[in-house]
Amino acid sequence: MKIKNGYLLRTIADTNIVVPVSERVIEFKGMITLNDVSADIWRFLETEREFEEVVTYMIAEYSIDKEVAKRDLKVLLSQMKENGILEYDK
Amino acid sequence: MINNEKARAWESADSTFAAHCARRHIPLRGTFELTPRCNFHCKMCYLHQTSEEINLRGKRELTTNEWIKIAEDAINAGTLNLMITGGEPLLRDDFATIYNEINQMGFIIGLNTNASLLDEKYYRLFSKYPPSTVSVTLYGADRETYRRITGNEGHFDNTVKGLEYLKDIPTSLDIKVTFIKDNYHKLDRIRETANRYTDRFAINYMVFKPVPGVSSEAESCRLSAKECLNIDISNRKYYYELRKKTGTENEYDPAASENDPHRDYGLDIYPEVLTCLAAKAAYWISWDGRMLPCATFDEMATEPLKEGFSEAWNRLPELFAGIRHPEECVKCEHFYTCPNCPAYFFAETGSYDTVSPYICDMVKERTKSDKQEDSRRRPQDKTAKQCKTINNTD
Repeated sequence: MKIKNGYLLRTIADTNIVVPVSERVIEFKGMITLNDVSADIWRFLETEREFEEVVTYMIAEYSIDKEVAKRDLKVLLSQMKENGILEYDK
Repeated sequence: MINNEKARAWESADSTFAAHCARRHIPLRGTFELTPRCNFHCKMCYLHQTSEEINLRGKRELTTNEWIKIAEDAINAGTLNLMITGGEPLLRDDFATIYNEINQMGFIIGLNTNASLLDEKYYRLFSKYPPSTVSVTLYGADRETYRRITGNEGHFDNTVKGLEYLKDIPTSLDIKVTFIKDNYHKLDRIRETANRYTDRFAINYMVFKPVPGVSSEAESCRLSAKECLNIDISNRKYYYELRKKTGTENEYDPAASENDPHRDYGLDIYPEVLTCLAAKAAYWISWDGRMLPCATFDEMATEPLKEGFSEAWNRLPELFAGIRHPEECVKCEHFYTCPNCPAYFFAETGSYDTVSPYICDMVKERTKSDKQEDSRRRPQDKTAKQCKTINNTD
């Protein structure tokens, strides 16, 4: 899975903001704000990743339990899916 | 319609974020005035210039690459909302090139246009890469009104054609109308025409004298204070009744006037003399490449292409160091409800510290009307106030 092309993560006034550009404006109006950890994972997901790969990254980066990493990642991914931001490698 | 609802939610979040940026002096909102040229010749326009007039003044519009360079610098400096305007921006031969470039950069883009030049070519461009918002200026609901205001009755047909194209583009469409003597009595018909395309209808009735070097008939065609108020009240009443019928009183108010004073935030941020976010979180790049706080402050400018974008932005507030509201204005009982921006004073009187009778009349007329409305609508409040006075006397 990865973030679809056409979503730009910007940091303005210490705020992480995702802006749709080009044709993505058709499917997503407005913007998304992310906290620093979500923004970090967003950047990690800008290239194709497996679920377990992201979990491993989170454990290494934030020194958290595997269960906590899995739970938090599921929440984030479900929000991303809900907004049609992710694409999956067929 | 779904897009409009999302846009409304975003607008509310945007205001909060704008205040956050103003406190950090981040240039969140930019406007690129691509050209002062326009295919319309509106009698009240503050900006309109022909190619010949531009040449005669020894000036030139920025090139394609200069606009793209400024856009790149703006992104790096933190600009999120970018409004593209003119003149008529679609008049530039290189509009599509500039638009395609800046569209990829990460702005939330708005477009101001009179819609009359929208054709198949632009329809294809905006269908593929739609601006988040498009604001169309409408001048009338018939050919004769267009002839009297814009100089050509055919502009009406072309505008309607453009609006038909826009109807099918996935963008949030606003229609804005400036009222002058020529379209004053046509509010209902104009709004009816606008509502065929969008419920986002805004009115403007304040018409200022043109920027230096430009001639217009602003003073002879603009409405009196009483007429301005009448048209504002009439539009608000229409939408109030409509929203009451549909139970949407708490949603976006299409009747909100462009002329409502915006004092919710920014007043305590330097330079305090500016009562909006200009030079705090907003800027305007003029067609000849100067950075202004807004279109009306034509005399106060920095030079982003010469001194660098960030330097120009950082220097902008300093230009207002010596400017204060006129003493008469500060002492006035209407100070906090008046659109007493020094830019308006300058446009009207040629001086930042001279009070403008045009603005004063407008505010006094509104206050008089508000008081009448208050006493008509809330007799119970009046009674309560009288009781309090009696108690205090005791």
